[in-house]
Amino acid sequence: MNTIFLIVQREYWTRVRKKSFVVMTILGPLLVAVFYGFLIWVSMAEKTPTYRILVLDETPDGMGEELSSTSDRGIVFETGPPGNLTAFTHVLYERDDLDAVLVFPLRAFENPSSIYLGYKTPPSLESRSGISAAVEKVLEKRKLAFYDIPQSAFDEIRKRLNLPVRKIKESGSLQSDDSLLRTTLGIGSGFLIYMFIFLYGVMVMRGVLEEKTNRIVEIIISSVKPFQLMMGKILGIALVGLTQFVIWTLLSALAVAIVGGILAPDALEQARQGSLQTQAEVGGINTGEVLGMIAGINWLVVLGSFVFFFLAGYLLYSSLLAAIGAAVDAETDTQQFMLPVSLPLAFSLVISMNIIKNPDGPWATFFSIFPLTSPIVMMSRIAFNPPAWQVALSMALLVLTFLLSTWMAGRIYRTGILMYGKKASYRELVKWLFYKENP
Amino acid sequence: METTLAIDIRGLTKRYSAHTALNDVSIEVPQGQIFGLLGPNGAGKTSLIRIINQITAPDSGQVLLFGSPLAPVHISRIGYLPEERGLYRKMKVGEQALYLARLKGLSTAEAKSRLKLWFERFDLNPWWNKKVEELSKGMQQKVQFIVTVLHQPDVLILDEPFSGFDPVNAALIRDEIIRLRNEGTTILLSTHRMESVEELCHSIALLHKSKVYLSGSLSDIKNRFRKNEYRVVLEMPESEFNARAKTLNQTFSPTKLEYARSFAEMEFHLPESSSVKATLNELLKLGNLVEFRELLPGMDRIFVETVTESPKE
Repeated sequence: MNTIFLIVQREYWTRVRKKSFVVMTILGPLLVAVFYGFLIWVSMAEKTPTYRILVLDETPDGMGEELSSTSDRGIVFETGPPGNLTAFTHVLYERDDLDAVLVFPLRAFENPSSIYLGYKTPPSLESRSGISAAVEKVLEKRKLAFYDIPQSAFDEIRKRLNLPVRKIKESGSLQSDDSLLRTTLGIGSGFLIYMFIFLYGVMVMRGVLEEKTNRIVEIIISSVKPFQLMMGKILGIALVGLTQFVIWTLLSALAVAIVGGILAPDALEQARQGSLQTQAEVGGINTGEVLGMIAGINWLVVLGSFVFFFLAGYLLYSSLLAAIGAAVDAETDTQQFMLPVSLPLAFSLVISMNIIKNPDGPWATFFSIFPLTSPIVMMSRIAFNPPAWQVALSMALLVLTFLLSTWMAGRIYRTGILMYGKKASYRELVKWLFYKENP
Repeated sequence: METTLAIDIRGLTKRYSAHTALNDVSIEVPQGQIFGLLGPNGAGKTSLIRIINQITAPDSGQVLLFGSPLAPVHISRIGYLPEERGLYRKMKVGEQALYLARLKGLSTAEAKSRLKLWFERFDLNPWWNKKVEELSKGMQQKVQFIVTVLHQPDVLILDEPFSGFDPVNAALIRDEIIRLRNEGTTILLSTHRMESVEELCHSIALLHKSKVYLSGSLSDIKNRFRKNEYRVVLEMPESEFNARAKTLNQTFSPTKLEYARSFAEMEFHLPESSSVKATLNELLKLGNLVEFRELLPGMDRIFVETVTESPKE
């Protein structure tokens, strides 16, 4: 056991002290921060260009004069001197700052579709809808006056309802709807597990391959059992991964906070207000309710399952990848064996994205129990409180499978690391499983 | 006198799917000797060594180490320098040596103090904090040798220990091997360099086609392969040599007869029927006899002869 500890220690320290690790660990959050900052900067720096429109108003009661310019969309209406379309067109092409002519014909109120925009510079989609909205506003006012409807009554009528969705408990008490939070949580943690398994599983494979091509492996396994070497490497790299994730999480949070604070307090404020608005529109969720939702999720179960599926999934896949590393001579040869390992991983990610629509459906249930996909798929379901027996079955099967896979990997590894210059086939790998072992 | 056997290999058989690596191999390695393990490529040497190191297990047969069957406790009593050997390239030399020593069960302090001595002896001290990839191949080999012997094993298994060394460093390693033997270490030396075998080994075993073809002490084996060939050097003037050359050719039918700077050299085969004494008397009459010795076959020749004359399967 002591030797496994030594191996874990070496695998951990040599990787954590590497320049590439330090750079990636620091650079990772920095990239996130820069990306964030860039997004904010772009949204701020992108000033909408002014779109200046000359209004040709032929209506008797001056409808066109009621148009109000909207500065945030960059639309400016300008009432021209009296004249006809020919004169206006002349002005439009004479003045560089003018982009279009908006024509209100004589009977614009009775026949609104006779109103039109004639442009020199084509309006952007945004300007187009802005202009349209401004014209609609004027028409609306006129119609209200025509039908003698007070503005306040109209506003009342127009108010839209967002049907509140609540969870009703057996006792009859109501709870906020938190399916969005659960979905985000499920997909997020599933994806995190996928990333971890892939990144660090491949690191295990490379490490094994390095020892093999280095020819140090025979020196080491004359002192320790191959299985110990393999497990030491797998565990050491798991720790590297955990370290990196913890640092990334902390630094990312810090970086986003700092960048957000320095770069764009206004933008953040805007975003905050904006999101408050949307939230108010969508269904009136307030901070208290959000806190309630967060409290409503059984975090102990979610976190516990995350750690479990995280580790078990990683152990399962990294042992298979270790076996692959041992079976080949060069990284280019790993391709043929990589497919059966990477396919179920990628597949489970796709499945987990889709089962969110029906987290208790037959496919979701099956793939969250099937061991090769369960780490990711079950993790995506876990926030939706799947039946306990399914979780238990999924966990039990996963444990059995990773025991089996480490056993198999250990045997392939043991034989493979000492085979030089020979490309293994699947048939050979099966044979290696049954070579006699040391007592 | 019964000597204790350091390694007692009994009826070892190891099969792989396609071929048999070892076929009923029995070898006895006495304690405190340098024992040569010879054989052409693919004869089964590496398989045998890996079994002794408990890296792989035999299908049948047994290996006793100092009288008891191989067990995990023996791992720390063996030092193994594999033929295919390397180090972590990106790791620092000292750190790596420490790691490998600790894997063998040495404490950090003990390993450090011993490494200091060895690094001193091999002039490696300035390299302690360098990465392995900065070292020359010879220096890496030195580090590997140190790591192999650092835990003071009772049995050393060296597979081609001289490969990659220049003559100076090869001599350094050879001296260390001799010193370790003198201190009581049993050394199993696997090599293709027959001059090293002649120089260092007391006994040998020759593996060929998964079987032991030859084994025993070097002198016994040489005796077994002696061909009654002799070498003679006679001092005589050239005129006399020219006069006697014909007689010499007729009497001895030599494989070699040369004259150079007043010495006549002759190598010949002595038939079993004739006595050495009579031949010697005859030679004494011919001139001033300065050398007369039996030509014992070199290991080189014994090796080639054994391997090429073995029955085809």
